[in-house]
Amino acid sequence: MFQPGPSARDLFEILVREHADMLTAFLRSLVHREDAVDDLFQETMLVAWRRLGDYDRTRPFAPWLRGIAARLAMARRRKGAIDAARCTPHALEFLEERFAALERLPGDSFLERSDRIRDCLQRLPAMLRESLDLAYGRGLALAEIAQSLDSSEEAVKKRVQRARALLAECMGTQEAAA
Amino acid sequence: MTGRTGDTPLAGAVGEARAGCIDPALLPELGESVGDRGGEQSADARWRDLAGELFVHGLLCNLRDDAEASRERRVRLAMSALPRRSVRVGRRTLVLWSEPRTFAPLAAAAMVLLAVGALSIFMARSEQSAAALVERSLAASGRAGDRSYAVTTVFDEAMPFTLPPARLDVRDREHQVLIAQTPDGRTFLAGRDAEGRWFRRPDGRMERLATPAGPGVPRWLEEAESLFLTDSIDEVLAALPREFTLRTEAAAPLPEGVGPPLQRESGDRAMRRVRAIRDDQQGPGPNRIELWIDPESRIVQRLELHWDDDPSPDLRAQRRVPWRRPPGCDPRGADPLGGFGRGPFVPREGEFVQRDAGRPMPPHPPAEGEAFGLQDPRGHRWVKELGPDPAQASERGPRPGVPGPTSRPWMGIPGQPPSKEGDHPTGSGPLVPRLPGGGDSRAGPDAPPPLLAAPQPRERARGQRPAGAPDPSRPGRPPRPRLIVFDLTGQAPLPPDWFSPQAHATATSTVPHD
Repeated sequence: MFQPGPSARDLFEILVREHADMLTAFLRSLVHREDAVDDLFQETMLVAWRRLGDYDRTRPFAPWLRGIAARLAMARRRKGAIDAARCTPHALEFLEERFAALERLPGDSFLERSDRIRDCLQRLPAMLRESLDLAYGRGLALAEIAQSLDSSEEAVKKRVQRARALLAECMGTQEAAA
Repeated sequence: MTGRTGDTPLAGAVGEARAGCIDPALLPELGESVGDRGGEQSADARWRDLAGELFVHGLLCNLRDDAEASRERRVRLAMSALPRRSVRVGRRTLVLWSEPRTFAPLAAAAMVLLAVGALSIFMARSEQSAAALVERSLAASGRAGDRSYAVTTVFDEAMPFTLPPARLDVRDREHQVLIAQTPDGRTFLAGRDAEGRWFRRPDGRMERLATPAGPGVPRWLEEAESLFLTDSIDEVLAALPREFTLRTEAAAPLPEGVGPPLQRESGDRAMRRVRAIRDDQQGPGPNRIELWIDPESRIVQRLELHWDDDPSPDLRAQRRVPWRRPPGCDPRGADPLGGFGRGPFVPREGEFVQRDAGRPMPPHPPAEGEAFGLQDPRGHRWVKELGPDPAQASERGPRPGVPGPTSRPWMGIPGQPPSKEGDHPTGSGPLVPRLPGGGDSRAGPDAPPPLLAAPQPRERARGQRPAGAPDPSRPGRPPRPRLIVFDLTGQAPLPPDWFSPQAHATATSTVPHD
């Protein structure tokens, strides 16, 4: 059995810090509520700590961490958590592909690599960018955005959805180029 | 661009507080992108599109967040949840904490919280498999209005009043307040209202817990002589129907209380009885629960949580599953990693114990001598005044000119005479048994009075310590309780704001959850 000592704990904290942003983004992709993100983050790290002896050090740490998080999220979905309804094996499989591809981009940290989405945001059509900004940047509700843009809620949903799809394509292009 | 408040897209602007990153109506959904693309898509393509949107959604939410502060908070919480030292016993991993100094003062109060959690479960949820009597009682609880329960904790039959009594006020499943006194003299105050859970810090400030306002209050579980908060109330509630077998017992009047004399409104009426036996006897929670339910009002009049060392053959025969669960069967739910096991319950965000670690000592209150007791908001003291506020003579040490802990009045049950050698002879408050040989990791004059005597080891099979017996290697640590009793003591209306933290604040500042 792996018996982590004080030094292992310190090293583990470094790993936690290094991967905290990545894991947070991954969990935010899976569950909606911030408290659920916090719960799963903590659970993931706790499980990783317990299972550190099983970790294959020849392989990258981030996918292993995401694997734990994905299993925990799926367990949450099996228990009926509504905000984890998207945590299906299919979605998780493709999501893992996206995060793995992002890690192949040049950059020193996850934040640096994920920051490329800002470039993609600038390339969005103004109307789509505005919708995204109201939804994510200002945190407005759907009805408020619709009122602000003098548009229907359904149209706003489509715009946000379309903007996300374009951003995914843009990021995918960058990942493919790398 | 409309709505831009920061220099960079999505950065710097913080919208209204909400549970998630965006309005849930705007979350990515499977299949919604099909129409945009036109034509039919394979299932894989639809999932891939959804994953792409989810991926972007996660990145955008991170962009909006204050990454540095958010990361630091999560890392700190995650690291604080890691066990310091663990041993594996069979398939279970027991976690032993290495900070008894920070843990012991609140451990006893946390034990009471354990009981509160169990009570809230019974009052908040109707089990599919529960007896109709319990279901009717649950329904009646929702209409019963304000109630107060006396909470008494028993560690051993020979010393029944180890913990000062506590009171639990309940309005409904979303409103309750627990007022307890810790063995070291602090008043422990925790509750919940419609906005969520809160508690009062030792320095008097109120703090809300950044946890969802789901049913129940923090449920503490005790294991390996340590206490742990379950990681998810929902999980506990979801697991409950599988953990207990309910059966009715012969009607009987309420038994004599184990705590102070109670003013019961029910008189000698016979109560409906329900016994709940936990199927898996190896977990940390109570393995037997007894209910007394008023046949007319259907309100739970008394609830007993029992930690039996070894259930009687009668109890064993009542269980639905074998005494030892089959290998590989984890009754607490599926193993998400295929065999690692969930392990122990660990303190989660908002847990009280480690939050005090390393914090500066609160200032001494300005005055002493103020009458102190558990004040019932209806206008009478539920527990008689206990002398100077014990919080003023806390474990932080005596102030100049103030008697030290050894002469601090004992807190206990009014009218309960000293019955054992070692009872404290001084102080204005009532006396409770004090046994010799106890101690605390805080040696010297700052040490609080010992909670329990040095143990008489009664080791059981598998190295288990019986309930009620302290750990010889961890002096001062409260042992596992044998029994926690909730007795209904009143049903008069409480002040409307009684369940809000403001009603109990002794300082005005509200500390955000870190």
